[in-house]
Amino acid sequence: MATQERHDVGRGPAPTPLAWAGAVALGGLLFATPFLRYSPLLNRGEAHANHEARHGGQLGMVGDHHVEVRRRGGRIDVFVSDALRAPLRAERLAVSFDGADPVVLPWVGHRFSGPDQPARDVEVRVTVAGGAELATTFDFSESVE
Amino acid sequence: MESESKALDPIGVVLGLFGLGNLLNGAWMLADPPHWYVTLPAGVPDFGPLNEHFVRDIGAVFVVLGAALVYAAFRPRWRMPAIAGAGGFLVLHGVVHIIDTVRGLVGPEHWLIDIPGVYLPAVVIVVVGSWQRKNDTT
Repeated sequence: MATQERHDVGRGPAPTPLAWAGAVALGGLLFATPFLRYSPLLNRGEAHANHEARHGGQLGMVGDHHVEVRRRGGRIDVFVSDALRAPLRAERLAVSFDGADPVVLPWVGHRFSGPDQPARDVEVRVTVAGGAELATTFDFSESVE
Repeated sequence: MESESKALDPIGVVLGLFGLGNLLNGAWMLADPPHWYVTLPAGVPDFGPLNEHFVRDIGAVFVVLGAALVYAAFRPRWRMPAIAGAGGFLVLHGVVHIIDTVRGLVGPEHWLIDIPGVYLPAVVIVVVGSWQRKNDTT
């Protein structure tokens, strides 16, 4: 009985308003920290300090942007990020397989994605903010052979 | 049949809100790993390429951890076991981040980036656990 009472809330002096305010502030901070966009406030390192593929594809550059192309399971996925590798959504993105007519890829969640086609070279044309179109070509000859 | 107060006290408020945040974060990982990977403002890609399966594995941990803390917020008898479980995970999680930053897997900017989402929760859960233990023994 004594053990049970020891755990009951409300036993002893009532919490002060300061204790409640502190609890709400601390709890709210802990609740929000995973979702706060605090990282832009911090130094994320130097531009172009990291050129590793992050999605299992090939990484290339278009202007100051990073583009990663992943071909897997019959689909081609293209991820675009800025100079600091922060993900961004380009205004428009099209791919050309072995020099054929460009195919515009739709934005699907967090990437541009569409059906893949057999090809050694994939040209990616990215329309960035301001309307400029930048292009780069990826060589997949090793993975095709 | 045991009876137990379900009213919230300040420690319950902290645990409840903290648990709710972990629940949502875990649900996000389970529902859409790629979106969580690129959107969570904690530089997750700095640690390596996306592995959807492992993100879901970790999401399962966060959901259970969050649910335990929310439950414990309203059930004081369950607080110490929940805090012990959550604290064990969060402290080890923090140690892993320290090791990976020290060995250079991620850049030194992660000492700051990881404060809000990794190091602060680990410290707070230990402090809250000591408060709860003090309450239990007085």
